[in-house]
Amino acid sequence: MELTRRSFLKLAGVTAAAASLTGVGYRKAQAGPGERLRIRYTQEFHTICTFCGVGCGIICNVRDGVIVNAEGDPDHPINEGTLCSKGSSISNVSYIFDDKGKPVPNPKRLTNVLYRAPGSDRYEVKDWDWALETIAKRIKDTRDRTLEETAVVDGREVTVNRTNAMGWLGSAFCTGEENYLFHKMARAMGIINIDHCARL
Amino acid sequence: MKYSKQELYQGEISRCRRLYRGFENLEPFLSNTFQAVFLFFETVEDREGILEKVSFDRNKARSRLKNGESMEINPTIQTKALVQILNELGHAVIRISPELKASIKNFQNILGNFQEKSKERVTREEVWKLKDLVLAEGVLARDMATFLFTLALSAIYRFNLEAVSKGLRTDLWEGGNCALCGEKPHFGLLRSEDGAKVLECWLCSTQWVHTRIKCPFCSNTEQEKMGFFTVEDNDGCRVQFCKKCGCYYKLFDTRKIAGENIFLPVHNLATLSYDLLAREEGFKAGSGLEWVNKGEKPELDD
Repeated sequence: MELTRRSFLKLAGVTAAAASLTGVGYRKAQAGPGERLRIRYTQEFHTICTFCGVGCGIICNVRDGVIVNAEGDPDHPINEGTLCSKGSSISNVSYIFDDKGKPVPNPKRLTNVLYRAPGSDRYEVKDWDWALETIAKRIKDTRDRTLEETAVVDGREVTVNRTNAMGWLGSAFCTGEENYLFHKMARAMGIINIDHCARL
Repeated sequence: MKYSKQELYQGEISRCRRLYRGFENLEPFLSNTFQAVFLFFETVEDREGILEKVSFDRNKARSRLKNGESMEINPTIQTKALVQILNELGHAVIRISPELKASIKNFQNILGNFQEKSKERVTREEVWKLKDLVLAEGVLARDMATFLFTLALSAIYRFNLEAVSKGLRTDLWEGGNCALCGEKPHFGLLRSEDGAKVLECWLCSTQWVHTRIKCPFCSNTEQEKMGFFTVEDNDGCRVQFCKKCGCYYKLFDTRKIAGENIFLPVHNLATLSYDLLAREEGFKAGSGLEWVNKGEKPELDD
């Protein structure tokens, strides 16, 4: 059937206002005259739990720059929406709530590089450039000082190029490719004490 | 325990009264219109024949869904039954608001003409075309037209396709539109046991799990461009939006709206104020269902 506007014009015989839901008593702006329902915007972000080696997926709800809630990511293959009690409270790492229920930054959250010099009883705040340079320098110094080029194995001298003075810790939160590169880097430096945070 | 749609509806009424401000204004109208639908299915002849039978090979359906293709079913609808249900709904409108009698009579005249000029069965597209003409004639406002047509169509689809929908392997489906009929969703829920996003087709009630942080309309996964808003005293209904395509849909958080067997169409109708807010915030319904009238939001595009 060809529906045309003309075929219906003659049928709308009585002039009447269009029937709307307002006409049956439903006011969509329900808050009252001149008043608007107050809305709150929230954004959702994926992250990974930092507490243990399982690496559960988390969805963080962020409102005005503040994490207001964290819940298990239902699409994450490891935890499928669940979280342990520690993971459930991970939002408190960044924000806690005061007596009036207002979110305030967690004063115990680490936001700077803190350095405690050998023999010192206190931490000093340092910047990242200093920290990275110091770490690189100390890795090199330690390696140069402790590298064993050869070792005697079964009465035979063999090349080992290793150091027992350092260790390397990988991460369950990195991808297989990232951990491959970390492993290569550790081996290139002669580190043989390589471990990982996963405890499964 | 299996609930019938009627029991589900009645269970939702008291819940919605508790949850949504202003619901009491809508309740008499909803009760009348839903009763009209239930009565229609109790009395209509050949109710299994209203919608063309749908069947498909399970293996083919499985591989189709796995390949990302919706079943896109489009069964024809018995014209007489469609007109009858819309007429019954029209009567329900008059029972609540006798002052709308003239408009509804015009609507019913148009329905009579549609039945006279149509074949015995019509397609979904022809029904939408009828709705567009009713709107163009100014007989019904957008929200009323959307209400009457979606209620009539979804009742017919839900009644006839429930078994087909439940037998579909929606666990293989990752799309944003309905795996069965291809319609875009207007609402869904966050599942109580794991917080998964489950979208529900407003037309055939097929439910499917969809990635939580992903737009069902443009498949956007950029987290910064998506979000949701809630109303301050009720965070059980979220209006999810995507700034990339500018569309919204509603999610009902069943962890906050306690209870099983939630009948989402009633919650959707009880929260049309959220649709109005979404339009005011600059988003459009990704489903294409327009629940807001021009007067309610003056700068709305036609």
